[in-house]
Amino acid sequence: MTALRGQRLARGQLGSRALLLLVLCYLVLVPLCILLLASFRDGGGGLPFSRRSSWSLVNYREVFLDGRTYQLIGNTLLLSLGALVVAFAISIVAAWLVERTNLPARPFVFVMIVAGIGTPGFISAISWTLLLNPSNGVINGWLRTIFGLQGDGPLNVLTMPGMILVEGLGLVPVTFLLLTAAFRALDASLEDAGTTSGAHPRVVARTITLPLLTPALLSAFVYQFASTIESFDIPVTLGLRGNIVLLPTEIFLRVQPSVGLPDYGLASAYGVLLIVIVLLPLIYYQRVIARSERYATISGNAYRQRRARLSTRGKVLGLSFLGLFVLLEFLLPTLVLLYASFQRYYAVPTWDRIVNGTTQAYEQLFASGLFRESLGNSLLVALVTGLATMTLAAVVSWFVVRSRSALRSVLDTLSFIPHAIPALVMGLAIALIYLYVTLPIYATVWIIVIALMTRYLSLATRQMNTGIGSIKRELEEAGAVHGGNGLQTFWRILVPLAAPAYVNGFLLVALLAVKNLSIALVLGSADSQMLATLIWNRWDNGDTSQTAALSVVMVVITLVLGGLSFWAGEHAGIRVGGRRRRRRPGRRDGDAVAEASVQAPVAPDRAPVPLP
Amino acid sequence: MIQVETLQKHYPDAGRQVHAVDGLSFQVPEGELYTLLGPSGCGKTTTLRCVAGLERPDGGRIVLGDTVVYSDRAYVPTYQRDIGMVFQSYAIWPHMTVYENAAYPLRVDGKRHPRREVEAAVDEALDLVGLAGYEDRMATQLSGGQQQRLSLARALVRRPRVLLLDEPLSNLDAKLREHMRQEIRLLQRRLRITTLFVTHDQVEALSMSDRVAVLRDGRIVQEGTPQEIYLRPTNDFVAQFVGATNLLPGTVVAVDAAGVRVATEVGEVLAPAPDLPGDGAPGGAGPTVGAAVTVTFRPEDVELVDDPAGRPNTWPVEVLLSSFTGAVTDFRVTAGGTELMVRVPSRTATRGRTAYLHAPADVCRILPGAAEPVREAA
Repeated sequence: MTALRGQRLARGQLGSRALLLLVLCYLVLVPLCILLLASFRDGGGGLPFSRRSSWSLVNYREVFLDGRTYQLIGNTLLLSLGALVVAFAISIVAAWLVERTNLPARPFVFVMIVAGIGTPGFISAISWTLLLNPSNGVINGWLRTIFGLQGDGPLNVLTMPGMILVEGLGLVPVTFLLLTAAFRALDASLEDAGTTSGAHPRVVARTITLPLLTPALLSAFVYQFASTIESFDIPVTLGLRGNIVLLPTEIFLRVQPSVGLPDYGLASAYGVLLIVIVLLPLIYYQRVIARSERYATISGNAYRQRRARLSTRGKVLGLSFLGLFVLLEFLLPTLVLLYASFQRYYAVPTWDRIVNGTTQAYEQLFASGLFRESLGNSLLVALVTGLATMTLAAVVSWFVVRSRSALRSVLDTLSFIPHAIPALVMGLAIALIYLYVTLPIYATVWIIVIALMTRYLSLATRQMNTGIGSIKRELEEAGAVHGGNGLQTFWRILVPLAAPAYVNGFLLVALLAVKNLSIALVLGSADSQMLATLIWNRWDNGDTSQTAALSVVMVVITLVLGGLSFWAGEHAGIRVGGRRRRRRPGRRDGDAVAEASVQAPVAPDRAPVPLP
Repeated sequence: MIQVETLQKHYPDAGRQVHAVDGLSFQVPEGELYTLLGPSGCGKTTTLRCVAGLERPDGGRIVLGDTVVYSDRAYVPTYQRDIGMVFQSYAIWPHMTVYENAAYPLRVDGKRHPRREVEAAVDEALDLVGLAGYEDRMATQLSGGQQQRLSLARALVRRPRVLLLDEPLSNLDAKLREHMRQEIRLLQRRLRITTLFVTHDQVEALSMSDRVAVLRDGRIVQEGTPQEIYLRPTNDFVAQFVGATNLLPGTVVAVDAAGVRVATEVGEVLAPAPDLPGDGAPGGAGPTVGAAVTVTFRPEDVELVDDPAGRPNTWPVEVLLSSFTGAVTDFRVTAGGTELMVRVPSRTATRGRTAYLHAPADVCRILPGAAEPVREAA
């Protein structure tokens, strides 16, 4: 009887495992294989798998023998590294000010720094074009007035330094969260031991704090490097207008050329190249993490972190620095969008124009069926992608965390692979599949859902690994011991305990789905217009007023989703595993928010919140 | 010498000020080991961190040796104080070797020590704690006990005037803890280093200290030698926090040459008059008739007998539970509705369900006020 039951159970488990493996292979491996195969096909002017095409190395020959490729790689690296330098310079100072000094209004400052975390990159790029284009950019207008200059300029955002600035500013919120988490994870008594040994605080910073933070800094740097190298929004919005082409933009231009037919074979070869460039730092990232494990130390009394006392001048300087950052990263871009959305024709803001604003753009918008349709599409895609991705991730994570079979590492690897596939390349690969497999989902929003789901599966499983990992096995066993059967244990114990991680992950994936531009551009069609592509088309057509109004709608949606995600993160911190530390005197709510929203970035299963 | 005078430290919490340390004063003579003992949240660690300079007090005065390190006019930052400190977490730097950890204080003090001098000092310090030969290991390869020793070596390597120990034994397992207790005490005596020791463990406090201060809510409730604290607690908090004790609230019915007679739920108890003036009733020289007091005696000071034999302070009790723990047997008995603890050598333990509890008058102490028996988490 028992043996029989055991067998049936085993067979049932085997079946569900096989199914899971199949789903993951379909989602992850099939697109990769198609991409790889397509890159070895000579389309002969047509599609890579058409009758006229043949196996060939012609794409790779073109990629590697063309000097332009190296220029593309150079541009891509330059943008990434430049943006990272900007982002880390700002984030290190900001994290230190917020975490380690007695700067006033720290919780407020914290919220303001991360406020722009959900803003899509292409919207920042559009705002910055309005602010800093050479002919009628707002800031340029002011500068010309102040310095009495004539003609265009003096500044131009449609250049490499301009792109570096915008990309760098956009990277700050996540980098800042990673660094504040690293500062917090540092045991304060290690530094106290330095000062009680007679070391000046400066010496402590150099000989203790910095070396101990190095693994976390390095892993944050590599992590952000991987996400900025696949950055598509800013190269396509700013770069194309300034004739600066990067690897991701080149792929896009091959897939959707302004004249002629798409060259999928060449695009695939470039895609494979981009994956390799992303993969290298990620492999290194995993290694850094493995090495940082040895810095685990015994914990003692959780002391209040001592804060450096700033002089009045220091406080003023610190607040000015952070204020300038918030102004550039969040306030000015948002304000210029608001301003432009109330203008019939865009022009440099004057008091007159601000006062005589019109709501015409919004009226047109809300009367437009296309707007309602694309807004509906975007929200639907966000909802379905969030639910589907998190549900799949929950099942995968449960196997990865709990199962002892060999399958677990296979599942873990499969679910991590999409992390190295840039969203644009994912879109391309999925497009290739459905060019040949005639399923009715091509040119609908569902193909977008599948692409987004695959792309963010890695993020979702990391999130659920943390959530399920923090539920001790004994809690489940206690349920079983006290007479609950498998299903009851699942519904009454596992689900409620894992729910906060699920909700938090859902909001993150939904946010990423709403703000994604590249997949929607590659896979969208006239019938599956998304909010992002609608904004993009309006902007491409030079309709500034509509673009701005749509962007304001988008920013509102992402702000709400981002805010909810923060709130949910705090909630999760309280409920799951009691990881929230005892409330100590002097702690403010802002601390709890950050603590819960970003798990320590150094441990592999506690991946940071990677909002690209 | 350490001198702390009317130390104040408060934190804002939920809009009001919490007095973590509330007018604390004490003095540690040169070469002594002085212990701050109390439950968590009593302000002992905050006091230690104020002495180290890791917290800035809100009032008072701290003197280390002949340097005023904190007063309303002076503040010496931590790194300029002549101290060594051992942390509860040991705070061993994971990115350094054992040698580098121990040598750190000599490398950062701004003076240029010749390399040979540093090596000699580090060798000596590591030798003192029994870590000679481990110099080239990474600190994280050490066991918990070894990290603790390294932490001690690092604190001693520059021969500081004052050694600060913040619950250094609480992360060790029971056996190692007992061993390190003796090691630290021996080392402290040998080096004659003035030491301030913070713990919540009464056994550590009693076995290691020259003097002990029992803290509660940021104030010292009793200070004295370990013997004084244990044998002559002056209030019910100390009596209960240090060692196990029985508390019998009652009313004074007579004061005569034999002592004080107190009516309790168990029966009438005869106890000697308190030895400290003003100890009994408020403002008086001793307990007066009608005053509410508490009688206390230790479980190991009383005995269970089968025959009352007309002795005073002997009451019939019912045995609820006897637990044999090896050398001694612990009894839970009840008398007149009050539960009492008795600890007797196992060889003389009674086996009956009922017995008589005999508490000789000289082991009973009278504490002011009617105490509520409170169990403090040790």
